[in-house]
Amino acid sequence: MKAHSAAARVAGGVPLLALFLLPLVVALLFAAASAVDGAAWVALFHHPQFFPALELSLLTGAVAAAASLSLSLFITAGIFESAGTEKGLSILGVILAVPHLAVAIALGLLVMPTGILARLLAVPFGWTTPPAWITTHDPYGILLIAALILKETPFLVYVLLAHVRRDDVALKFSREARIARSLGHGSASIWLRIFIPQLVPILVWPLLVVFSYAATVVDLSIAIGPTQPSTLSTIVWADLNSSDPIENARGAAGAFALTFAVVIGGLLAAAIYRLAKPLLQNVYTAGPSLMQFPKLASKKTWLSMQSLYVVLLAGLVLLSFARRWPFPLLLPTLFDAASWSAVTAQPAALLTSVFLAVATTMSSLIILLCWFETQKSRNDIVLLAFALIALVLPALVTGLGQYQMLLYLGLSGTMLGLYLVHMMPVAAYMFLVLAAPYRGFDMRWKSVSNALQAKHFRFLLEIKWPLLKPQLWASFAIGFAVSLGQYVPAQLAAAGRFSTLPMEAVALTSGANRPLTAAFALLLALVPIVVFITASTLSRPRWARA
Amino acid sequence: MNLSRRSALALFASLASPSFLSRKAMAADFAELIAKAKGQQVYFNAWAGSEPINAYIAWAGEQLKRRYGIELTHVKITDTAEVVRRVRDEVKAGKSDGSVDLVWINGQNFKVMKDEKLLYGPFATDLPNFKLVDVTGKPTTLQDFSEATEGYESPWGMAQLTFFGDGKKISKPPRSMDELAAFAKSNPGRVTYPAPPDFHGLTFLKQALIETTPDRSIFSKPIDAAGFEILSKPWFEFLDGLKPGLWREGRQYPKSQADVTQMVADGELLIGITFNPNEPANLVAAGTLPASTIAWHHEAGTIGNTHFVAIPVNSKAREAASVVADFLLSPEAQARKADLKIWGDPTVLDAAKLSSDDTKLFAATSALGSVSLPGPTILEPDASFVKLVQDSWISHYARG
Repeated sequence: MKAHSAAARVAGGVPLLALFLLPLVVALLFAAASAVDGAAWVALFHHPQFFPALELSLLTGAVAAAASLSLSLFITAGIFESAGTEKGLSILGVILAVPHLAVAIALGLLVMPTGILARLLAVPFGWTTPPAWITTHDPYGILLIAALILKETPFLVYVLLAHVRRDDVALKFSREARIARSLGHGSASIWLRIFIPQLVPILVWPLLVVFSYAATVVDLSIAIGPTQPSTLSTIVWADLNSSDPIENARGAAGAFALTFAVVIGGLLAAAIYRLAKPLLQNVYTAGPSLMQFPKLASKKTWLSMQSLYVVLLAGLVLLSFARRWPFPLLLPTLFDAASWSAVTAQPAALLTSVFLAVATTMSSLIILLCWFETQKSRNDIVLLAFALIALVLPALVTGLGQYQMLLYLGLSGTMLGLYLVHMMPVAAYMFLVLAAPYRGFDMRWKSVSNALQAKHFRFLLEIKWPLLKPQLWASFAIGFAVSLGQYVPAQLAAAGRFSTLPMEAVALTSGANRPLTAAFALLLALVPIVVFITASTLSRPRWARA
Repeated sequence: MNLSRRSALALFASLASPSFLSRKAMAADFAELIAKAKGQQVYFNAWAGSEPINAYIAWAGEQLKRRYGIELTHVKITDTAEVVRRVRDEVKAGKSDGSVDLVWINGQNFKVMKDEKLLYGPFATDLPNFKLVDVTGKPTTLQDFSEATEGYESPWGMAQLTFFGDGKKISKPPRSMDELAAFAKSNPGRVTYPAPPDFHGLTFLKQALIETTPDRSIFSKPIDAAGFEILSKPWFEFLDGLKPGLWREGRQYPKSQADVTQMVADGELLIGITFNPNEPANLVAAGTLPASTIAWHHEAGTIGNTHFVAIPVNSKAREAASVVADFLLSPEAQARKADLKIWGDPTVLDAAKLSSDDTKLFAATSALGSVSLPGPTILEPDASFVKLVQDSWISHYARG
């Protein structure tokens, strides 16, 4: 902004520098330093499970990313015209708000040999003992992949919808569709030949984030992933937590090996796409096809995915109250609220999680607004680069670096340390959500405000921020959900002094108390859902509220 | 013998060192320690995979708060190895206000912490209630695996590998590893053990190793990889033979003992494993397992040991942590812990050393699910076996 002095510009960037950029860079340096150990790399390659586990990790990531991509394109093509409705968007928002871990635990409880699915089948098949199913912790990671697809597809749908619903894009698409139709193309042909090629560049980074997350996630893999061998991420995690310093070093090397593998995998996918492009060109330019897009099937797919979320949450509710539930009965024989009284008797994890989420989203909002208001928009590219680094790098690497940094600063096991490690992904996601709407704000409002001789701050307070209220609240809700989903960095930084909801939930998945596990998974899902619904109610203009 | 000479030397050194004198002074003035402990906060890092244990620790916290003004916080951990790593990292980074004040520990983790001087002490033998410990009848209270405790950890409870299942479904419980293999063969898919590094899984494997080795004297000494390779041949033959009859044909193993217990409760498995002989009875009382549950040891004995609490060297609340350790040894706390309805963890105390009032606390109650076919206790193999057992098992059965 021209009106700002150089001093103001510096001052506006400092909070973001101090709370996001600097900790991120220093943490990465610490992580890199801990992985410079030749012996550890040798030990890593000699680990009997290294190669099978790496293969499993990459396959999990690749299948989850590819399936989520296909499904999200299929769903978006079916719903994008009707998706603008308030209701459709709130459902998507609710689904996005549910942390991965809650979905994974719920899915695991649904399909386990004594889960509701097996009980439903037990009646027609006359089973009296639980089937010898290999569902949870299956050796191919199928359940892990399913949970990832269930969470990543809506995320990609959100990214796609945000793009195709932009006024300029919507206009362009409708024009192109009209021309294509007049040339004899059916709706499927239009999507395949015209829209999808334009959407691929939009999806590059989100897909890389999805692939990296799926290939390196720790908490989901512990909860429902394969066990012998497990994914490389859980082997690395066990090494990092081992009592043997040699294994700790091997873990640091493993975290970087996984990162390199993900980057190579990403580059490989990009190269394959580039090579395939000329071949695809032939498909794109082949004569018109009347093929119609199966809109109904697409809508049904989306509806079944939404219904599955309802089933998963309902299953958690049922299980959290089930005291005794012999197989193959469809309902528990004894209900009680013991797990919920256990939750309310020890609310520390819930309170810590909510406190951290509120603190990090509020401060991210402040540092980002300070940045946007004082920095030129071309400086955003730096921030964008670091935000993407923060999100693409596995939590194992950033978490390890943050832990070493906090140890060095004497901040491990402190609330401040926990706050800092939660800030990184929260600020990065909120920047990605806010940047486009904030920078795209119609500055004619400012001219009007200037003409009325209003002070800049009054313009922000009374015009700009109220007009951007939906986006600000959306970023708040997303930041909240992201903060609530942190496991690896939180577990390392907390040093046992604090516990958060995901930490409790992961610890419970290794125990035998299913009602309590279900209660914590439900809590993990409900808190961000409540926040999202509150945020979307508050973001509506006053006259539109009920 | 090299080993005993070393321990004799260590004992002599500890007697001669000035720390012995200060320890005496400390013991004489436990009241002063209690005064210092008031208001201190103790972060007790303890495995939290079982609700009865968590509830017991919560009870101890209430008592300590009321009696001594000590704030006990149960840091719920899944693997004690993580605590060792954390304390080492903190000590290395020069953090004097450590995150751990008391840790539930034994075996390899204790040896590592003691060797690396990560533990505060010796403190345990100075605790007033230590004199009640049955150090002769339960020698593992002073000898943790093959490592002498030397006062660096305070005994808390006794453990012995125990098997359990539903007596209605098991007519004749298998009382040796060979009988277990035969049982798995005739009941395919209904028996398994947790995969290492789960310590129940490791103990199961060590038990199998002991039962497949004719000369057991070898287990009291450290072993190297070459020695283990020869020793492990019959062990692998046994495990290979067991594998096809296991749950999921041994292609997959549960992650934890809790998973196995849950599957036994669900009827998916027939035989469960525990390190607490009273856990089956406790689970019957809690309604998790049916009243027809039976528990047994192998006829020739199963591995048994003691679990302890220790204080890391960088704890800021050593005084309070010592008071907590002493309270956990008190007849009242030990009796409550041994109560089948509470936790059922066997006591480390010697009944003969207790006052008649205290003895009454331990009123023996035989309950449904108690061990009906007991066997003798076998000492843990040397700590050097753990890693070899774990690594060789992983490379044979978990390569993918």
